[in-house]
Amino acid sequence: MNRFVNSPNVSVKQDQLKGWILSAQAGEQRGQQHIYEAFAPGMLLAIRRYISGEQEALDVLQDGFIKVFRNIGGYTFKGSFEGWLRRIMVHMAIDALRANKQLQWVGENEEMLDVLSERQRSDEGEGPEWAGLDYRDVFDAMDDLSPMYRAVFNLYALEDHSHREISERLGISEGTSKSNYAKARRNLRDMLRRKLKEK
Amino acid sequence: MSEEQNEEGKKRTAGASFEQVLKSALEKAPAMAVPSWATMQTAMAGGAAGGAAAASWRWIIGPAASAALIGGVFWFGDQDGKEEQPVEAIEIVEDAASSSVAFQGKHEEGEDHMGAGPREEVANDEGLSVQTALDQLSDDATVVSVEKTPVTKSPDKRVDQPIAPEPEEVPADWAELPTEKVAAFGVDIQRACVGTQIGFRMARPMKDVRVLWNFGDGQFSSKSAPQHTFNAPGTYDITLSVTRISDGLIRTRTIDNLVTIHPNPEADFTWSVPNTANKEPLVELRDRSRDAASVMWVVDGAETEEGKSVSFVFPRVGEHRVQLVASSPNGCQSVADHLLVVGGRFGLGGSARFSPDGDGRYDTFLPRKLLSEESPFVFRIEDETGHIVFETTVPKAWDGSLPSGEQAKPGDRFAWTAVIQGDVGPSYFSDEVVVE
Repeated sequence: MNRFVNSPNVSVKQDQLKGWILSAQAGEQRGQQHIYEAFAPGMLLAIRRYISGEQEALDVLQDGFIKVFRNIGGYTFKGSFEGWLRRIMVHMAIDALRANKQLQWVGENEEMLDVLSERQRSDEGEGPEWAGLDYRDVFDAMDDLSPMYRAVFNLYALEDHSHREISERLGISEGTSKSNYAKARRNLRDMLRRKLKEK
Repeated sequence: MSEEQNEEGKKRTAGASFEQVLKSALEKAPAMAVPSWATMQTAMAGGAAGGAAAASWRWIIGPAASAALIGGVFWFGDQDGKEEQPVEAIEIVEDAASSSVAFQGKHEEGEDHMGAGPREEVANDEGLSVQTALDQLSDDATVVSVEKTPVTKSPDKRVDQPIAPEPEEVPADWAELPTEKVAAFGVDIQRACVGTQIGFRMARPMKDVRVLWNFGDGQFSSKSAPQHTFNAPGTYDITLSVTRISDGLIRTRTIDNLVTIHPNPEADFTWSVPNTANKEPLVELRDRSRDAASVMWVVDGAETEEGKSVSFVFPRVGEHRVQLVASSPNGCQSVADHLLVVGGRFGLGGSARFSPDGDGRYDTFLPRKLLSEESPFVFRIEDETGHIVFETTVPKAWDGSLPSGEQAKPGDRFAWTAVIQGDVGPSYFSDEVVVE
């Protein structure tokens, strides 16, 4: 039997999804299987943005779904189910980084905060610079970031968390979150510029 | 990339912020292959997720990040030092007759009964498992699930076999002693590099106790004075738990940030031979190390030189060992080691003389092994004034003709060099040929 399946992105109807969730809440494997097969590939992509190794990301995915199915009774159909799943997976990914001591935070740095605001201003209208960038470039560059920078950048830039939320989630100050984000962003831009030049 | 694609990309990203560009790129990522549902079921049933197949017990949800089974006692503790540790240890008592699993243990508040959960036997690929779940074990752990699977050996998740502690008289007031005195411990090195073996020892060795060291990196030992090697940089909290065998009294102590492990640099270098012919080959060495604050070159175990890019002359034929020692700002070191080959005519099957006189014998010159060389090479001949008179990158022999249009005369001496590009770097051959 093939150990891996490459599920297509499944477009799930809401009533169909509700049926799966109710089934899983009743402890039925049928509902769990539908949920797993529909959402696991997308969740793995989300985890992969935090965890650089593929096997490590798969481990987090498995642990994440174990947690999901043990706690699915707590999902009350308020808010997006996919968002609920995603939050659990992101938490699991960050917990895995913390368990491996990969998250060691850089302290607040006012100078970098200035750099951040300056760089954000300078971004306006420079989009064409990134023509030709594809997801592989982004994954490769993010893999080269340190785990702490990667986590903060993901949460702020891609998951749209505020620095306050990040500080609460990761147990760091808002200033540290901003500082880490500024440095991650600068490193990422530099790396992606180099990649595009090499193309 | 085609101009059309580039134009499309420019339109797509025009006016977009850097973050929007990244989001847009990531949205185009195809779905990733995930383990099949059958694999997932096995992981759920057997507690194999997270690479835990090697652990005999697994605690799944809650603040603790590590667990181990020593002598029938299930231990777990918080690794990051920020969460509370409401439970020091749990002993799991399986009662097949009543189909339940009881949790006996020591709580911070002194409770010794943690609760019980249903005993479930689950068959999986590795045999029979026993598992249970317990609600509201503590404020920090809303659901705790302990799963037992057959122990499989793994070098990554090794649990050392218990050894007898050093015999020493147990103090009479052991139970009354404060935790820090009972479980006081130390290390022989507090700051070290990745891969360094560190020794741990108790301040006062005791007999008739079980000890469990939690090194904070997911590894445990039940030796009284274990040696442990940390394989990742970071700062580690070390926990020692001591259990008196006679009555199960447990004392636990954690020292936060006791061990700091610094990363090692990655030493690496490349080398090349400049495009000039020379009887004494000059090899340029270039540092390619990562995370190094300084580097030192060692050639043949003797000559040393510092610098990112250096040159060495290898005056003798043979293999030359070149080592690059890279040092990090914290003093951690790694070494890259390569053998550079400098050969003479015997190494390539080159004759010492040739006679381009048209008699059909030894009329041309090319070291024999270059005729069948599969790696790229450059073969060069220069006259006694250092001018190159012949150069080829294909198996083509020199017929003695000079750039001036004349022929080499008997008695003329020429130096030749051959640089062959190997898999890891170039090999250098050099010698002399005389015209007869």
